[in-house]
Amino acid sequence: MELLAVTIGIVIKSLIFIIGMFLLAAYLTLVERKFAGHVQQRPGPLHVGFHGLLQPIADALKVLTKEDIVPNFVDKKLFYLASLMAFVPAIMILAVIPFGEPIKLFGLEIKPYISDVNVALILALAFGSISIYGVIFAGWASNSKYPMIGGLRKAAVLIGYEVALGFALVGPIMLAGSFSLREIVEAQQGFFGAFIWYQPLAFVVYLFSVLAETGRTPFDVQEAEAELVAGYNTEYSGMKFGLFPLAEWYIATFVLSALAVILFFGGWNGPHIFGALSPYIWFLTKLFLVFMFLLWVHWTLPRYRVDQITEIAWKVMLPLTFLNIFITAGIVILKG
Amino acid sequence: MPWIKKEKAEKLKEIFPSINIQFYKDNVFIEVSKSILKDFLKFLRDSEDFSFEMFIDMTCVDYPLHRPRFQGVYILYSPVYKERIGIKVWAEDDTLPTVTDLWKGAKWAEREAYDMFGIKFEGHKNLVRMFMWESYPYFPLRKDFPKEGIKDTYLPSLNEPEGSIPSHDYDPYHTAIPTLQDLEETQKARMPEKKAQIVLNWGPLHPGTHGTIWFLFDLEGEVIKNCDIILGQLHRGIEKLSEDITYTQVIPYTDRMDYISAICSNVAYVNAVEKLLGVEVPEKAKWIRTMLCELQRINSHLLWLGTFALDLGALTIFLYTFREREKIMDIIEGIAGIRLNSTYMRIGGVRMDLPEGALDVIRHFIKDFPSRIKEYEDILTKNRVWLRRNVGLGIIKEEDVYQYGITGVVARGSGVPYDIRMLDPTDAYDKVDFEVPLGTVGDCYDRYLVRMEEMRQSLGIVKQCVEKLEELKEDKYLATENPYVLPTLEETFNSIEAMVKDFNLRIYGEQAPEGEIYSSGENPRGELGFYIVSKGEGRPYRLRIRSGAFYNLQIFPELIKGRTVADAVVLLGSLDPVVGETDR
Amino acid sequence: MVKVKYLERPKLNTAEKIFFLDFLNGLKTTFKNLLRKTITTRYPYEKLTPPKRFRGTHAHRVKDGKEPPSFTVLEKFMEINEGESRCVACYMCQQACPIPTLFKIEAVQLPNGKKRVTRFDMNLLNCLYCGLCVDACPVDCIIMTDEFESATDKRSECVIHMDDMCERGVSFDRRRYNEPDRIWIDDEVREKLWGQIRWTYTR
Repeated sequence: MELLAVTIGIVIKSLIFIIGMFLLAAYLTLVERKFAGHVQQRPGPLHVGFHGLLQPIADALKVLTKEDIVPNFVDKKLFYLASLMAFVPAIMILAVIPFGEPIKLFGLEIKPYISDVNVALILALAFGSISIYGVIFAGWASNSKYPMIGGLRKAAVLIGYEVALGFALVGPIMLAGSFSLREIVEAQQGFFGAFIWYQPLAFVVYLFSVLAETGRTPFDVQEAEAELVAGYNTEYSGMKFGLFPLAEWYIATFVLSALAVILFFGGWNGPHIFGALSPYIWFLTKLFLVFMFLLWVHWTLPRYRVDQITEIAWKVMLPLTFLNIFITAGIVILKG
Repeated sequence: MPWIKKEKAEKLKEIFPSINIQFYKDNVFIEVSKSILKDFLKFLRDSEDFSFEMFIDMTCVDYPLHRPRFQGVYILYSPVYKERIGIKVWAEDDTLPTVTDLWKGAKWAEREAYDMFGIKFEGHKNLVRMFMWESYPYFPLRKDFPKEGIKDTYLPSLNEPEGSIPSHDYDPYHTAIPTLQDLEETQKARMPEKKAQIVLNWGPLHPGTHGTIWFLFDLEGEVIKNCDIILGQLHRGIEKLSEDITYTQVIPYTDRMDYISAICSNVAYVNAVEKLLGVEVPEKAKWIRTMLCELQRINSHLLWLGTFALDLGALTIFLYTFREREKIMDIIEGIAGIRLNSTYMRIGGVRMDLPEGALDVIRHFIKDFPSRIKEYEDILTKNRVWLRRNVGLGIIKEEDVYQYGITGVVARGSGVPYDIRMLDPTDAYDKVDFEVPLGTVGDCYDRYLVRMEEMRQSLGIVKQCVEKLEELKEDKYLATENPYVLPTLEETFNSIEAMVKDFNLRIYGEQAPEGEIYSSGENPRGELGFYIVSKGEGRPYRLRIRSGAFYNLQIFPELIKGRTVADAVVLLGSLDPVVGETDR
Repeated sequence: MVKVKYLERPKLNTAEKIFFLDFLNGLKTTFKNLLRKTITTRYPYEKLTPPKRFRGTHAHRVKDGKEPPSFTVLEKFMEINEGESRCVACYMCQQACPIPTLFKIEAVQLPNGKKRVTRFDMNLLNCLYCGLCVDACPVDCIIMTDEFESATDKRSECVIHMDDMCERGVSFDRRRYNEPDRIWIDDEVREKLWGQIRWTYTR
């Protein structure tokens, strides 16, 4: 009986997370478009709803009702699989991300996360790595030259930055002494407890890795539109096409920003000035700020060439993370 | 541009007694026979007294009644003595020796001459068509090719019922259109041996090609092993069209060549015609022309900066540059009537006087613009990504500039002080102060820096023009007293003589004296030259357009070998071709 | 005086490299622009009034008493009533046009020896909008108006005729005939992009 209740609870929670994520991702497109618009001194979406508030829904309807063209010479199975492979892992990371501490509501203890596994961080990285396959499949299955080049570029970038990302996370893990995201957050108490003060190097590497993983400038080589038309999703259309940017630009960016908040900015820790909702508000505010920062970078910088990106990953980022690990280890040992 | 001096040209006669020297206005053309052409050109290039190292243009003229029928014309420039020379040669048996071993830049020019006239060049390595597809049977610029084209393909309207005549000049028959097979043949002819794994068709319609250029990349991984460019998707035959219309009617066509800097093209053309006709332009028109030319140059460089940054992924710069560009567009729209293809210039002056408030608006723009350039520079100039992408890419050496006939910003980026505004000042350029910025290395970064600096210099020129135009408020803007210059509307309305003159010029055209002239202007894309042959009729007998972008693009396949596709975007962006001008 | 100048190539120094000052400089600029007001015109909802010189769809001026002196000379040979097009069928616009076939002008000889224009069609699909026809017209008849929304999906609708050209000319003259020759008139919409301009003439 208890098992059933837990199962139902998890299913409901997952559904809430998935549907919420869909809506959120849809509205993140609006956030990005508005932000990009105002950076460029134009208003962005303006006419569907008040200041374009219904624009994401209109876009979703448009994408869903569009003709879904599958070119003749594609590898059909992989072609269909690819868009799912890109999308599902990104959303799966959500399973391990805590959005706050458990709260008591109507006598029930509600945990604002799906599961708190003790290897949450490893799991998140593993899910992230799976999305490489989506990109490679898309590039290969399209049976076209531009998607092929785009897919290979993205794969090269992802492989390079997965490694750097992984090693960058070692610093915070060592400081917290745990893989559990909840415990990492609990280890950062107070304003100066946030790990960003102790791990600036790891943070910079992490930030660059996030930009690379999510395909934002200066690392958006895979769909460099001036070179490759649209990169690995050139041959896609309709919702199959829509899933790629949704997964990559919004869900992955969102999730990785959440990880950044948890690892470096003290998660939901903050002064209790909003009452019971305080942790959530703090968490979401920090998350939003990190997300906006990524957008800000995206809409400012030019892009690197693909070989320069991988070069930076292996020759600069990776040694930096090693350096960071050694320094952190030294400090941890010295402090006891 | 000062042409070679009479005395100096006479000296050539001592060495080559068989040559025939022709002087027309300041132009000097030397007629040589086909047998000594190669030796003569080699002498001109290598001799220290002449050193005509730089290849400017090569073209042909068709005289159907003359035997031999075709005449080749070469125009060379001496960077040491800063002078030009023209060489004419009759193509006996419709063949000419190739000069590609002397100047690599002749490669495309000779292909164009073959494409348009059917002249064979002995020794040319890959003499294929330049603009038309391989199996096209005609040679369009020959005089016996009809001006309206040869109707070939039936192209019915997609949304109108068959048989209905939507307008009085509607014709569903089109001139020949290449089939897929034709295009395949063309592609094979352009790249006879495939070296690497895949051939990437980059274009004709691709966001990175800035128009409709068709690049063939022979790729090994992402590295380009071999490259060729197929031009002609935007070929409209402006040279052919202009043989049938009066000199004034060509002006709107020059707009549509380099559509990004229409006014500069207008001015270059109008200056050439004025030189041919001997028309003196009023002072005020000169200053207006200079001012608008420089505004247009800023406009063009802004568009370049925006799209170049967009190609490199800096999305926001694009809209920032378009913000300023929009202001210049507004100015041009208010003065000329149309934003892009303004047709504001007229032979003998400008179309209309400056409207009220034009100078106020321009002054406002001048005040505002430096801070905007600083914004672009803040984002880009020292950005490490920008540096990594630009520095050391596509280095053009000084010899290459001369060999390929590279002009404009691309030449100046390589440190060659070749600026027509300085060497052959037309309009008011000899009365304004400005600096010609030069690069030191010749890579994409230098070209970027040169263009940024040129925008500042242009702004300075505009400022001087505005000050001068304040004084010239009441002056004439069109030299209507000249018999070749169309009267203004007001004069036509009020005097019967002006009306008759207007009728005459419209119907018979400006009957230019017999002769030929080569004159050029500094376009934002390079030297835009017009070689006009006049037979004393109201229409040009032959109008050759020497396009800067065409010659600048020629070096692209050479530079891109061994680089990646990502570099191709940057390199192409920094060469900044406009297809309207390369294809004409 | 023209001078030649070699440009310096800026380089990143170590401090700039380590602290990402180059990126921060760019980020600062975009942030500054984020705070600025938007400058776009919301096109179908608000429209810029084109300048008076704008070269839009062609129109005919009608006989309304404001004709130039040349018209009174040429009018003797023509049968033109008040409120009808001033066209005297001189074919000068067609002569001046780079693509003369886009004009179709027909005139008939009336029994009283005068001419009357029966047809004046222009196929705007072939038009370059260069304005040479306007410059050629000796009687100030053909003009170019400020109308620019002429897109349609039928070829036949791109051919304009004498009646609608007259109508357009009358409406253009009613709106803008007395307007001075200024670079542009309305400033409310343009001010978004331009800011306040200091005009030297009095408004």
